[in-house]
Amino acid sequence: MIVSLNEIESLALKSARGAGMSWGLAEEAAVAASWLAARSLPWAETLADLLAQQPVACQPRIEGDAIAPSRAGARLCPILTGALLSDVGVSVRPIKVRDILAPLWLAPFVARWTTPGRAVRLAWGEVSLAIGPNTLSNPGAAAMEALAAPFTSCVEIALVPGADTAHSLRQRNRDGYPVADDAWRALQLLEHRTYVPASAQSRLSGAGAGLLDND
Amino acid sequence: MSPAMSAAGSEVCGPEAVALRPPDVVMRLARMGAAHQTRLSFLRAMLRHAVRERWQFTRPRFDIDARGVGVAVYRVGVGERTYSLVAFGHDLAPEQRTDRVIAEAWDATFALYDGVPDDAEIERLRRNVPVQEAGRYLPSDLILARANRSVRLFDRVVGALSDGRQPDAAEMEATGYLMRTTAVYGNGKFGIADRAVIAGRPEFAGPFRAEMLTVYLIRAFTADLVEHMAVLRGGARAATLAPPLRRRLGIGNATGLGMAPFLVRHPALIDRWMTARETALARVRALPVATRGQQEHFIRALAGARRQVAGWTTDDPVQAPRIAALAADLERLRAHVGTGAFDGPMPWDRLYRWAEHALSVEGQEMLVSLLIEPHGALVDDLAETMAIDEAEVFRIDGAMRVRDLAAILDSTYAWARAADFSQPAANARFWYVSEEKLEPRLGQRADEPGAELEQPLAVARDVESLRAVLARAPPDETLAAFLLRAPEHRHTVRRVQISAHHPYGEVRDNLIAADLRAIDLLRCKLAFFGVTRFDPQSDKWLRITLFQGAPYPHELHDGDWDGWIWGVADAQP
Repeated sequence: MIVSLNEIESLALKSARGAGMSWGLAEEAAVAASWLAARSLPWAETLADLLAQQPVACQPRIEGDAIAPSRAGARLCPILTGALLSDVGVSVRPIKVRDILAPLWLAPFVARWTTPGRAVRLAWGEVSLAIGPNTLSNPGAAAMEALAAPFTSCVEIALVPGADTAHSLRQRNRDGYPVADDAWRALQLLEHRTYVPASAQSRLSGAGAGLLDND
Repeated sequence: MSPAMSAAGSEVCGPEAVALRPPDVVMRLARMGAAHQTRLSFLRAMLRHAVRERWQFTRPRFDIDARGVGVAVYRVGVGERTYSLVAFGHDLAPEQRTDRVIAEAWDATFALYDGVPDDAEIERLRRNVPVQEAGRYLPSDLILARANRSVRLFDRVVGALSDGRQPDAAEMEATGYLMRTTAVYGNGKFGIADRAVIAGRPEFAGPFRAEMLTVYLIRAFTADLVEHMAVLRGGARAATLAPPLRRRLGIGNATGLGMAPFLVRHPALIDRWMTARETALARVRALPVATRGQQEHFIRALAGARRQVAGWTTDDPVQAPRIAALAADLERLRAHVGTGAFDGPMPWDRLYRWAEHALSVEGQEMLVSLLIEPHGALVDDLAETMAIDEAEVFRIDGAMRVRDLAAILDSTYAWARAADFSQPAANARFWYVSEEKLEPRLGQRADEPGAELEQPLAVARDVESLRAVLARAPPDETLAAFLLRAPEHRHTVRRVQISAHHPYGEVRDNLIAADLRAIDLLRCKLAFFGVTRFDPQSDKWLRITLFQGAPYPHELHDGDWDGWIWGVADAQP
């Protein structure tokens, strides 16, 4: 189906919350989903997979120039880890992130480090993404599957000069944003957990108006 | 000096700068719930823009039958762009007519379309717009809306006109509109255009301008519709509405809880709205003298306000006495102005300070509107400062230390200490989204299930919880480290950092208190829209009027309509 960014942001917020994230992290997921969708990156399938594995209880731990799960054998959540990268702010030294789910979801967070003269390169597996404030290197059709990888053992993050990201964003907003029906429905199931079923009392008192209006 | 005050007090205007009213005064629910429209309100700013840019209005299509069923198209030329309101009329059974946002059928449904729709596009809209939320839309569809007839008045107006008579002016004034909108959707709902699609266009750069244009065109449709139906019924003897009477018809609206969370969810945006209005007030209060022209303008607007309040009725037991007190306030103000209030230095400032002691909060806020009114040249630029890119304020500064965040709490959130959340009365309500209607609701924590699914609108309680946790955290700890340990406080930390730079961003009252009147939130937002005649139907929803007294599209470029909202434009051609 074709949806708007507002619908994407709203569904990501509520599905992340429904999957058990704190409101603040769910807000991060929502803004990140919108960022990915605006760049035609596969946000919905990866988010649905990621949320199916919530809660990811493992905390990220900073070890020198690496971020790794604080417990051996555990995996990192990219939203919690991405929020940490956003909070800490730009790192001039390259960083490695170990053992992380849905690595694509780090992109919207490190994108906040960018300025017109400063881009960020994210690399894992066959993927190499250069991100500027309003630009994104063309990941290439072959890399689409790798972009949507559910897990990777290592993501490398490094600053690069801004000129590296000459490929401009495609402006999709005139056409809406296509999304896979399966992933959308999976997220809606999680979203549904945030709603309160009606009770007799809430029907009477919750909203106020309940009368016909023929005057 | 607190961060809030240094930001709020930073504007210097003239030799005798007057400080902006502090957030602890402005952002209380009792005062927000007494807000009135000003010349910065969105629908007034939209009409000024339309006049200035000479928007061209046409009605290329009006295929409506005697029952009101069919399609009409209104076109607006805005520079090089064109917008079209596509209106569908329906034949609605009385038992289907409800104010609730959850209705499934309406007397009329509307879409504001980006461009000129061809027949295929109108056919696509015809398959979707009449079912509103149950349809799907495209980014070419900017706004979606629906309205129901105010049946009694609608029928009487059609009846009178079809007999060749003018309808009863008092009846028209008492209701004030022929149709009442029950929802106006923008910003990506159901697939329509995201705000980002139009935010860069000058005509829609201000908040809710596209929504206001839609409602303005719907109002024109309702007046055209009754005249058209009168002709179909009465033939050659049918009359059209006399222009002054026609202008007294606004468009109604019913608004419920769905709108309430908006003010809480967009602190940086609300700060822009409030800052614009408060800056306008401070600029006026700082003027050294009141010119003769400004004095006369003020007195005309005051007379219009008194007429407006005289016609403002409600059965609401809280609002009705407030309206009576406001009428008395305006009489007191008129008498005061007649006794040399404009003599001496800084007369506008003295008038405001007099009102702080002499008038009710309703009266004080009406005076704010009246003080701003004669000073368009001084303040109208502020209407263009009321939007913000919220993405700019979203990122949390995780390098900030715990002690610095605690200091912001002390300076900006002292008000949150007022509630004792160990007491049931402070923690009595919870905001939730209902599964049945997918709409925001307000529940009773002690009596209703679902409090574990509470929406994050209990700002004061969450802030107090954060304050307690911060007190036990190492003062030197970074927020990045703190939030790794305590992600449940993340949304509150973000708010607090935003509020440090947006002093009017936070409603400074407990939004889950037993005595909360949610309608105060609605009133404030609607005042910024520019509506009049707030008519509460409970403490959770109300009816209002928009564009009453406004010129119609075909009149807009003839004459000076600046004071239409005060009825001053009644003297116009």
